[in-house]
Amino acid sequence: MPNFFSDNPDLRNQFKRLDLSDVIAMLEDDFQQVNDFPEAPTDYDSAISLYDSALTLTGDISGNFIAPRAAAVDAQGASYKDGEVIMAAETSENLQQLAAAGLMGIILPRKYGGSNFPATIYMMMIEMVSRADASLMTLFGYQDVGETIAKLAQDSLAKTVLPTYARGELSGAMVLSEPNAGSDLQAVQLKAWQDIGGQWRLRGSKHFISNGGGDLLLVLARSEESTNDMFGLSLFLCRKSEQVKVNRIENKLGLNGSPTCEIYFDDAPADLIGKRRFGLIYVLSTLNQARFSVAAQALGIAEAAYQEALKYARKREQFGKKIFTMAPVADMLIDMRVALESGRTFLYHATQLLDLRNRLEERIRNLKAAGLPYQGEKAKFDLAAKRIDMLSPMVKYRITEAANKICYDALQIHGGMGYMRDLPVERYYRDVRITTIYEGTTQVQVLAAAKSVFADIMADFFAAQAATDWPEELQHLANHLQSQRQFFLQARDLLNSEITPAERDAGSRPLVDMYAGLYLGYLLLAEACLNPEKIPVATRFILAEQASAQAGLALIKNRKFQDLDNIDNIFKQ
Amino acid sequence: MEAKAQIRDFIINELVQDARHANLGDNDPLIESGIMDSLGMMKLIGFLEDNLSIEINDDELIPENFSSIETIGNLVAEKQAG
Ligand SMILES: Cc1cc2nc3c(=O)[nH]c(=O)nc-3n(C[C@H](O)[C@H](O)[C@H](O)COP(=O)(O)OP(=O)(O)OC[C@H]3O[C@@H](n4cnc5c(N)ncnc54)[C@H](O)[C@@H]3O)c2cc1C
Repeated sequence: MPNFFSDNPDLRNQFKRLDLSDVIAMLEDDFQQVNDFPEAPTDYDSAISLYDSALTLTGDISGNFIAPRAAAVDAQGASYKDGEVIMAAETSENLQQLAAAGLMGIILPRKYGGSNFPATIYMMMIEMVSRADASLMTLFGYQDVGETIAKLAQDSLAKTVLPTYARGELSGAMVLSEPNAGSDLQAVQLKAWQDIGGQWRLRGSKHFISNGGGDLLLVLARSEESTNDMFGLSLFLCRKSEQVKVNRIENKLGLNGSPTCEIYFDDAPADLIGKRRFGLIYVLSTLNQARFSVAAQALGIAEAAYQEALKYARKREQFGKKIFTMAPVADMLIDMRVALESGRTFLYHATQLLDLRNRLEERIRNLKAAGLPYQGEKAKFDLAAKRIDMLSPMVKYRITEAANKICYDALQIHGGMGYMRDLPVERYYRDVRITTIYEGTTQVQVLAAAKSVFADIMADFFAAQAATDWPEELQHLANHLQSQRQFFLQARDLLNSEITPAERDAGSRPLVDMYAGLYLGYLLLAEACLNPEKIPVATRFILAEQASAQAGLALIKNRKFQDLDNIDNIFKQ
Repeated sequence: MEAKAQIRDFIINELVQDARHANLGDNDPLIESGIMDSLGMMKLIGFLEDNLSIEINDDELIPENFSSIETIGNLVAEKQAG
């Protein structure tokens, strides 16, 4: 079986292109960490080679251990008996294998037993694990929970729980959603109250919680009585106990190996994490990374689907020839590959900015505490933070939607066989579906990204790109991007003019698409300049985006969304 | 620049990001109008900490303090004085 890192030239290429020098220097305290932790890297090159080994190891476990068990995990699924969640045997083995390889505390600081890696490397791991078994991502991906504890909890609490967590002996869950609070987390009602001894206790239900039977639960709860907005919510760490009851697990379309739990908290004791009332603010600050994790998961599933489709198309013959030689099939395959490679460019560009943003935030905090100047760092931080606010919903939206399309087309290429349980492609098709829903639905992501898009926060970047001298053979692509920019500006002005809020909200989706196409188009153009192998990807991507930008502008110009002013009338019967 | 003017600039440039609210007044409601959603609140708190060295305590995170540019300005002025 293949190693999912070494068999994937595009992922390797993305890894080689990473420019994490500032990030790693900050993460490693200018390479002073090695004084306390002998395993820490001593310079940039040794850090990169450490990541390379860890990615190769993850690729090996993913390709050779996890992937061959994925069909069994899907068939057996997680189950529920007498209040206990039971993982498929293969899922437990997978987790043991990842833990034994030291991969369960990747982003945690070393003082808590973690590896102290940048989030970008963790995302690459998530992509590979998800390619092998998408359901395992919700368990591998709960490393975010540990990171939040490391950031917000008191050091003594973090020191008690995190080293076991980093060894994979404890598992976690992010416990936010309730039946009446999904996209709108301000509506959370689960009650947190203090007993006479001052101990916080949680009472009420949560639903749709991945790994809700886990050991460490980060719970968003209403700590302030008679409030019903974000100002009454706090974040708690609650440990598994008799008073945390899993009532049932969901029977769902995909991700069968991942238990999705309904939990009842029966006055369960919990520790307040961070400040009271700041719960939703903390949750939102973890969302950037969580969204990129889901984008990485979607890319992994889509890669698996693409590989299956390619394999099938090379083998299957109709009308006396291989189907991959037929233009409509080849066209789908090329579109899939372009979506995958451009998606990777977008995701890993964004995660590097996220790493930079997070490390600068920490450095500024330290400089301030030491009474040192921090204005230089602050300017860089502001720039990165502003872009991340836009990129995290935009990248999540674009990649998860593209991954769904890839899985749809991969199934199509299999013809009737794609519809059968015999081949894995139907599983990818089911598994990928969740990615546009959890950690923020597509519709919510579009509205979140739209704010920055309407404000045209990348205007300076686009102006600089337009003024760049591109190599002659790529100039036509740069010209297309410039006309795309004009389409965007026209569409934005139309949506900013005297139209109703409903029309504007609906028009946000084509507008966000235009902006994403433009941004990613320039990233791909720059990549193509350095690496001629990327020219075909950049070309197809930019030409397709150009056409859809034109169509998007036409929709807005022709006022396709005008009928939304009449929602009540349209649906009156 | 005085703190309230900085807050106004931040809210208009970073949170409003919408031509329709360009003329936002100091007493216009921020929360009811949806200008200050939870994400906006998170950004504002970061801004106050980073740029004005104001740390918001838990008992200060209440809607009354964040309902308009005026009330945020008052809170900041009070904290800077105290
Ligand atoms: C398999 C699975 C695992 C999950 N794991 C977890 C977990 O571990 N922890 C956790 O806390 N939650 C988890 N969730 C919950 C998940 O995050 C929510 O389902 C998701 O946020 C959407 O909320 P909802 O289901 O209530 O849908 P709703 O919010 O009711 O949305 C329904 C529809 O309305 C649209 N919509 C809603 N608001 C708007 C708006 N303002 N503008 C435009 N459109 C809008 C949505 O896009 C969607 O199409 C999980 C869910 C699933 C299915």
